[in-house]
Amino acid sequence: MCGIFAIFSPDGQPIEPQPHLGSKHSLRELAYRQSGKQRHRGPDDTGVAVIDAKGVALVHERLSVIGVETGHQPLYSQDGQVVLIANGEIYNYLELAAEIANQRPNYKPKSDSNVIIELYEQHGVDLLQKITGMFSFVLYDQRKGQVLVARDPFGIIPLYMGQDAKGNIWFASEMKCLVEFCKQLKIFPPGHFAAGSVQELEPRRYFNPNWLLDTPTQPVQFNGLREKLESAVRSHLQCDVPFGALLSGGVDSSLIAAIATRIMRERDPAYKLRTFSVGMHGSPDFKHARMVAQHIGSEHTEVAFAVDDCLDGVRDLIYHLESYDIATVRCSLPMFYLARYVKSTGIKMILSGEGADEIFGGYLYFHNAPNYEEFHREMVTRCEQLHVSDILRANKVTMSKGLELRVPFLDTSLVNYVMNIRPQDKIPGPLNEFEGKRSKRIEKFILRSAFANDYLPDAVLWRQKEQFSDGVGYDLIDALPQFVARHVSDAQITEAAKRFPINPPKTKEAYYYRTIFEEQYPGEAAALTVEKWAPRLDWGCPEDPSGRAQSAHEKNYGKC
Amino acid sequence: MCGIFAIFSADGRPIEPRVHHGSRHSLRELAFRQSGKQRHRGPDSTGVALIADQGVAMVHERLRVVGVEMGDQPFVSTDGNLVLVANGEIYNYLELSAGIAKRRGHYKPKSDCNVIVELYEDFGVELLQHITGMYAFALYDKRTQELLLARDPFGIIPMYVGHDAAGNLWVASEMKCLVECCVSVETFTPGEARFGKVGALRRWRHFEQPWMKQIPSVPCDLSLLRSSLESAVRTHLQCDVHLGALLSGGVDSSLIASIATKIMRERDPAFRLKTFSVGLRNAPDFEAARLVAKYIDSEHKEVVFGIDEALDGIRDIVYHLETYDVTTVRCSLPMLLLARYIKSTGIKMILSGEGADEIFGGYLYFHKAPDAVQFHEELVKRVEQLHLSDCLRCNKVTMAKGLELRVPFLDTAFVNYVMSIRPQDKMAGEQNCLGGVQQHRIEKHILRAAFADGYLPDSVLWRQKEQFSDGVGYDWIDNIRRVATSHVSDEEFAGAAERFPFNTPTTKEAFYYRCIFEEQFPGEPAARTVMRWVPRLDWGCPEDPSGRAQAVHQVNKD
Repeated sequence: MCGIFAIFSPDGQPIEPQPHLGSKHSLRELAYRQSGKQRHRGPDDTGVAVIDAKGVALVHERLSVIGVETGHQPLYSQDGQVVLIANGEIYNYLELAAEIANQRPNYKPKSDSNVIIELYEQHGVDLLQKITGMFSFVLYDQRKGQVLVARDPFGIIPLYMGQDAKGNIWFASEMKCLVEFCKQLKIFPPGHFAAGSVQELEPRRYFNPNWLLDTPTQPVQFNGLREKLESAVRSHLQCDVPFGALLSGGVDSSLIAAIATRIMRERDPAYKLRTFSVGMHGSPDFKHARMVAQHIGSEHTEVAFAVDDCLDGVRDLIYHLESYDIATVRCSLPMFYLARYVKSTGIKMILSGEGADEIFGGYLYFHNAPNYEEFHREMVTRCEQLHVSDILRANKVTMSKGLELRVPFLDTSLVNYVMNIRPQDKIPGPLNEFEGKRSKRIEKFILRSAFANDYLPDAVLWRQKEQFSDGVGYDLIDALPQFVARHVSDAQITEAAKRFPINPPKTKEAYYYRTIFEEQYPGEAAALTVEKWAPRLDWGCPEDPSGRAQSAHEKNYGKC
Repeated sequence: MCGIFAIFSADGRPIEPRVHHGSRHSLRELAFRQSGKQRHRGPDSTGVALIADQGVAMVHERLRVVGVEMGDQPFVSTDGNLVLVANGEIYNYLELSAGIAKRRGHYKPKSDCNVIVELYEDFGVELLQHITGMYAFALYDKRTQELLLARDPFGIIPMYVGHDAAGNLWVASEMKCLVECCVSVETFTPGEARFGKVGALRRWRHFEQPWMKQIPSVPCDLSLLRSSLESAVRTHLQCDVHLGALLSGGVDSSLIASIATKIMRERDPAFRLKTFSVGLRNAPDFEAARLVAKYIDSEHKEVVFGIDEALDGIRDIVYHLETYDVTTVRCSLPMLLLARYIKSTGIKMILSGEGADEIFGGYLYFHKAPDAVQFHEELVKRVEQLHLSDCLRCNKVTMAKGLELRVPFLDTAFVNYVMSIRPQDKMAGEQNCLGGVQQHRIEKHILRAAFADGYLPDSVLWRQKEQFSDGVGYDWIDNIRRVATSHVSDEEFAGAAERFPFNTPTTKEAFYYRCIFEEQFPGEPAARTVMRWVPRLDWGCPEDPSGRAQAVHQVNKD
């Protein structure tokens, strides 16, 4: 994965050198410097394209994962007129490259992102209907003076858009590149694109499946589900560098690791996946991860930390996350620690289980859904919010250490398949009506059942969900209030709404995170990019987002 | 290699939380945050030791190279009373560990730096006479509230110290951790040690050698020279992760790569070293490096860069180098690109040839030394200044990307040997008198002659030096000078002496680097840590330090 950065003058005229922190910066110097704030995303290489006459600068920070030797960006069309910077992975690029080669016999696939330029030349904006994967990209067509910007359906890859005082339009993978200059600033929404001249760049939706609006009626088919997930994992394994998988001890990441192992063993029967889990000494997740590692024969590492080690990272973490949401910060602390460790072993890509809870309805509070329609609606909402919660976390935390995280559960065609399954089959608890038989079933029942055939030990396959922040060790969650209390006084909390009128923090913990965020990302526009976890209080969720607090936990949900 | 950081309170009392950038920081938070500015030195893990009741915080940023699983720092002695943060490599640690095990009956070596704690228990500050290597460390004794700071003989590893307004002592591998918080900052000089309580530190030089004061008279023994360098390279190969070597195309780095290959092949005859060179397209260095790579059969990679691409890094390089010296900035930019590339391939440690020019007298201007005495004195001066020029450059540039660079030519025993050779045998040009026969010989003749037997192709072994920044392509210097100059107006430059009364820049290029430095490291104490290259004008050197400008270049080899 990588980082992308762009500046466009509003009228296609040159952007004059400007003073910045005491010295004169040309457009190129400014772009290189600001993009430098996300250089952790691309530790391997920086590429710059400046078209001075048009006031255009594009910068790419690269982590080389596919096409190590040929994937340097920015990428250019054959005639040099189209320039592209892209972040992400196009999982169907080999297929697409074969199609292109059909029409242009001398075409040689260079890297996954390269197909975007070729498809643009043939199909224009419609290229978005062809590519699948996680991506955000900025493409500039010098011939027409036009820009095409797009972001993947679920926002696995981040993208921000801003405008400075002179009207120049800025894009960046992370907000930290923009906040100094752009008074206006917003998240570029997932599943959207913007095309045209610089002044008409308004995000419009291109990803519009039926399940966003309609409640589906298709019953689940285990074979279909299994094949879809297997092919999602297969496409996510394209990688030219050492990789591994996270094992949280829950069913989602464990399944991904198990499937990946089977696929890799097709070619090399002795293959051992490298797996990692993180936790405090004695964390319950270690035990389950160890069972999985043993079951799938992985080369497993347990990364254990002390509470203080994690707390040290709070400030840096908020800087990297660009969020003050409590749940996001909490869950990210152990992962931040883990990502650094994994990277230090030489691994550049890691598989993980994010997304399953959203599309299968795995969160414990889904037990409280009153009916099928509302259950489905809530899943849709969660999918749409992924990019400000789990996916934001997963991407920015790992990329802060130059590690690429891939999430096969969010493969576009898998999500479409799962979100088209009728909610009666998915809903957890007594309302479940799988195969027309109403019975109390565990959350993600259909996922577990589809992989019942020796993929995982039963104790993990049927294990109830722990929120990541709980599974990692209750001591950390318990230590946080004490830690933050040293920083925030009672008087400050009562003034919270005055100091932070947008999303005012209600607890000392929230207040502390917010002050750190404010120090690094001052201004209203930045504060508005953050979505706070809004618990379904009407479904009986507590204010505190930690999973353990919910009543469904520890209740028995048998295999039915 | 790593980064170290420490704060010691002025009076041994707790340090109260303070407001920093608008929010309250406990001592631990302050230390973690400031040390974070050198986290590039230790991308793999951070360790913090806090002794809150004595006002002490010590932080270690780690790049795991030796003792991957056991070497996380700070190290704490068995009884918990000693705490150590150390950066570097102790090359004789296996020997030392064996000695410790013998004295105690039981000791399991953990990592190279761990021996420092153990030796302190046994020998106190005399431990500095036992360890050899490249290092900088801070060790704290809770019982007596005393601390020991020390830095290796030649300053391969950087260290700075400073005091904040409250009189607390700050220590860091890089100055960037200190400038915001300290009112005074200075370079901790190589070969120096300080010991005692914060307010009463005793300072002394732990590295003193006869060659520093006297002109040596021992003639060169080529076979001893060869075996000394071989054993230096051997110790520098201790490494538990992927390693490689730089090939600049000159004789120094080529020799190191060649010797390393021979040593590695003792165990694995099929071993192929990974080697790297950097340059503009068609750089003169590439051709020579390619010859070497072929000769030693290394897995070789040429990293070609564009001029614009290297120029992009000017601001970052001044920040990482913490210098405004023109030569250092110029030759560091290609190396920064190279370091980034090498790191991206998964290599964590790299061997290089720095130091040979200082101890053998390899710079072209040494041809102009008037006599043997002045030749030797100039060598001594260059060795003493290494930590402000080549050592500073090669350490900070590679560590900017979390890559450890090792310099076998600066192995302590090897330097002591070479610097004890009489200058008559080393001198470049007409005055050389090796074996009592006076005749014109190329610079570094004895080094080349010692390895004449199957180490390198002749055309490289006897190739004349190119300054690094020339070897990457002659266009490079012209371009960086042009671009840097273009940032400075005549008017600005006219005010140079007023704006920078200390070390006033004498060219627009120098002025530009100085402005970038000033932005990142404001204040005179920071400016005073930098030494500008001062050419031997009295020996006929030009103001501009680029090697090509010198008349000796391309003169006939002997």
